[in-house]
Amino acid sequence: MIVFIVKRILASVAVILSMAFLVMLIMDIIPGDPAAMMLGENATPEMIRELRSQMGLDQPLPVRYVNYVWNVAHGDLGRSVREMAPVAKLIGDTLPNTLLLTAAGMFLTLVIGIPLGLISGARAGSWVDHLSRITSLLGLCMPVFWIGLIMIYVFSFRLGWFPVGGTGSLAHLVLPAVTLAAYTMAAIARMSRSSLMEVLTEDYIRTARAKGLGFWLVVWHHGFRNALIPIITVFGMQVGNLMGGAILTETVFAWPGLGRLMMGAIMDRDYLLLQGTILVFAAAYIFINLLVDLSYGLIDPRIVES
Amino acid sequence: MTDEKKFLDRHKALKRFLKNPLSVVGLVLVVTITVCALAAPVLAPHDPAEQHLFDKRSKPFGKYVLGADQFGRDILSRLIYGARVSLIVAVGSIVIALAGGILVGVVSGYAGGFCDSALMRLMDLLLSFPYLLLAIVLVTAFGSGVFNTTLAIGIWALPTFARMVRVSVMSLKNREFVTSARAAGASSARIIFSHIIPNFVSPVIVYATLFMANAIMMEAALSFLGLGVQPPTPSWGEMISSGRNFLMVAPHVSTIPGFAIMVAVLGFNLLGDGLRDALDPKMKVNG
Repeated sequence: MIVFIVKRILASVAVILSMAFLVMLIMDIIPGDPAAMMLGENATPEMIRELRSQMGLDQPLPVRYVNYVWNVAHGDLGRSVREMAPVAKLIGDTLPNTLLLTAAGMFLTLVIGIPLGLISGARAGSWVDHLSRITSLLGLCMPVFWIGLIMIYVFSFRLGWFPVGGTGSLAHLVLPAVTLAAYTMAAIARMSRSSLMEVLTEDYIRTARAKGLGFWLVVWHHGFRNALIPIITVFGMQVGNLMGGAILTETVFAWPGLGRLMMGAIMDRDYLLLQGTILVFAAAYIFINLLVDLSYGLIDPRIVES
Repeated sequence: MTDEKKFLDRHKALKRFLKNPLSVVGLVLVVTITVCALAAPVLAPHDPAEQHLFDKRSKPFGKYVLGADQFGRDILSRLIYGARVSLIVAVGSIVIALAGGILVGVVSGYAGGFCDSALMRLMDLLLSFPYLLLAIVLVTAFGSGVFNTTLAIGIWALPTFARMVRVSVMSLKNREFVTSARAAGASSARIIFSHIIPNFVSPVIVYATLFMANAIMMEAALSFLGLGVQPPTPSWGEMISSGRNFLMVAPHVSTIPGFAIMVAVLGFNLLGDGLRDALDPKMKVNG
């Protein structure tokens, strides 16, 4: 088990390191000189040259990469030009908000998506099933940001139940969380439905029913347990969707998270801030995937051995 | 496989496809959107760029069927032209993803060894970005606009196609008909083009159709964020984004384009599901 954990952690670190290189490589394509942009229009070529060497931009990419990784390892992600503050601090301020939003999305996916799919699968063909299938199909087809705008219009402007945007209280979290989770709830409901339906055709389900157990008891004890593994797999894959969706949701609801910080960095061509946010976003995703992988190892020891 | 059997198989698949009402709905939606895109100048009641300054934000079902936006432009006409942009980007990105994905997948699966592991590590790396993030990074680097958006979405989708093709190639290359073709003296190129590629076409078609839905969604998201297609080019995502400031007074401006996205995405999803069930009943996973 320990070998498995260490192996997976090393693999994740390798992915993050190569990702940092790839991101720096792509950043190099972006037109415009960061130093020239920082100094503005009145800068002389000498000033630009000096700032470039100060920023280390005159060095070749591999050298810059090694320096960057070295600094990151010491907690230094550089300074943001726009905010005049260390990138690490800006990220530290916004990351908790994004994690809160993502966690709320995951929570809704688990407590609404899975039960909805299970009821639908257990009662396949009923009106509940039809209703939940249509809702989840539509949920997969609606853009996140559009759902957000409709939520704001209906629940903030018309009904006045929730604030339009920002953070601070539980009421602020409701609309963004529902918006963000709409897609993943739909996806997980569909998966739970088909997974449970497949399990319910098994012989042991018939046996359990034949010995006189009630229908829902069988669904819970024999069906749900066995349907769970593919559901967890899909749930793990949906985490990436939640994090990407967070960028859109934060934009719609003016939620002060990592996604909005990143969008601001793109608009202002704030390179180090952009690079930092991308890496932290990707690293958070890889870290969650690592946790999902490790949890498989706990659930099913056979995965560790292979 | 004889020609007659091939014909019968196709006939059966077509019958299965038409028997499923949802697939037919999907087909109708996709055809409708394609017609809108192709015949936009004929179908659109107004010039999508023409500004009617006295009709700013006018309500639907009045002078304009779906109302006018904040510049007094006809929303219906912009939606119809928007279908063009959506489909151009989606089809273009699929061509890029397919061409690149088949190239990488075939080379990787057929050659194996170091080449295979190097390419697959790169694909894994691209797949390790959370949804949307890679496309955002790429489009930031390339710059906005229709072509760059297409390129970014194409590269974003490439690894999935590459992995799919690679798995098919690996399972096909050791099958008897490939061995016998090789024994008969066929070159690698001939084996790849006439024995391997035709055999993974149908799963790839299914996935490409389902991917159309993703690409449309992705284009809308990038344009919504202001990174993708730029105004004044009518794009559904951009329309939602620019109408946002008037959500309180004129909600139709930014909500109506969302229906177009939903219909397009639904159409391609249903069509893709229908094709999957029709081409290979064994693949059916979701109800």
